[in-house]
Amino acid sequence: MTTAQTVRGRILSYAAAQDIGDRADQEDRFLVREIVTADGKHAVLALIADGIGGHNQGQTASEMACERVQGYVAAREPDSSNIGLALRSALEEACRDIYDASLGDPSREGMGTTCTAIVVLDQRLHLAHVGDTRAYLLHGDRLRQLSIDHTWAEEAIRAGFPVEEIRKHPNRGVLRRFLGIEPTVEVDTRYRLDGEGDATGDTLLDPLPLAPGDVLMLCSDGLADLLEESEILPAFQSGNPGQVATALVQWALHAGATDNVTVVVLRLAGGKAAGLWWWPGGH
Amino acid sequence: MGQNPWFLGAPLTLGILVLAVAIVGVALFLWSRRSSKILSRTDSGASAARDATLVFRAEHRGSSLPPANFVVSLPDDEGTYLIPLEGDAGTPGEPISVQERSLYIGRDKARAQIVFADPSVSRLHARLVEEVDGMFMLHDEGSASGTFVNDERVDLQPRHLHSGDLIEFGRQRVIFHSAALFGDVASLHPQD
Repeated sequence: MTTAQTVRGRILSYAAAQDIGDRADQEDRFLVREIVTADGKHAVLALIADGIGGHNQGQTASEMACERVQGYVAAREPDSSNIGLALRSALEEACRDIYDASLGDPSREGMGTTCTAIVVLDQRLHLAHVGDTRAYLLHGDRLRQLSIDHTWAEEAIRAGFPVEEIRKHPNRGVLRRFLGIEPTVEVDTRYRLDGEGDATGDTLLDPLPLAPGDVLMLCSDGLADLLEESEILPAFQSGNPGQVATALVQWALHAGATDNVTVVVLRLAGGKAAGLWWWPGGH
Repeated sequence: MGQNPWFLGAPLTLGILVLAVAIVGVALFLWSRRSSKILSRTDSGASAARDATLVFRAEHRGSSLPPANFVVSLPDDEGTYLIPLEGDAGTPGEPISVQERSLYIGRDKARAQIVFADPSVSRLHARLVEEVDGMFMLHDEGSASGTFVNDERVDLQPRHLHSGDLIEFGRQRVIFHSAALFGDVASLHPQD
């Protein structure tokens, strides 16, 4: 397992942890960068990309996603009013680049990647995502999934198919959107509203307000496939972001993770550290 | 002569025993870790299935239709068939007889009645159902590469088939033929 030390940035502290699982290759890539907007505000860009494709091309795709999304956001020199749009456009352009790179090379057929990217600016969250790499928010002691899984199961359930039947279906995890499989992609900027079933908000229109001490977590499906939200909640009490990320990856491995596992944890400055009084390391 | 005193033999025996127990312990520990990983592989099946299936999009292949007015010899003129189109030229292959009212198409012999051993075909890819006599509906089963009828994706709603429809399961292409229905393979070439 590889673990980065917790970095204390201007607006939040962050860390990432990763394990290859039983796979031959690590096809997950992640990135956390502090950026300054054109109007001089400090922001943080974070993303995880989980690549797919034979001949080691999944890692090519996820690497390209990290590099291009970061590059395209920077190239647009966004200010605080249009950074959400810049983020969405960056994923769209990265999709085109990965698709173009896959043409003309049979070994790159089917190369693609998920990508879930966030920008935290002015204590508000901008989200842009494609695939099933998840974004979570811990507010107080309540952990909730923000991202929408672009899987066949999610679409079938939203369309009214029987939930129990779909949850057992062998194709439940099949992705409906990728970066790079087709030249264009519909990048999702929506997030799940708290406690309102399938209702969603849209960070492009109205970025999600955050509070001091809130924790954001991005994770690849290596973690999300194995553990329910209630199971991973106590891991957030294990200390700073580096310790939380390490604990989450270790839990995924303990739960039998065979896929690559990547976790990025970001904690906003200020506020009271979330914690259960009885949990070691809480408070 | 040649025998160790009893007080030398006991520690030696004890040492060998401790070593043996340690070796067995380490072996059991490694074996249990391996076993738990193999067991859990069934739990994360969604990811495993994704990685095994090649996600295919037609943009990677030049669009090609079968030769106009091609002739296929069918065992039973009254039957329903899927006629595979092989290679870039779309040469008609051996017709596959559709004999059940509901059958699955996929890569997994354990799940599908019509099997294509092609990585772009999902283990469980699509389902063909004869709703009423002679009326066939094609369902996509959440396949990675998608199911297409005449270049239109079959999404969450099933698609009503007509004789002569071109169906794509990943990169595998077939023509649906049913003597009970109107239309035929010539409908693929309306300009002819």
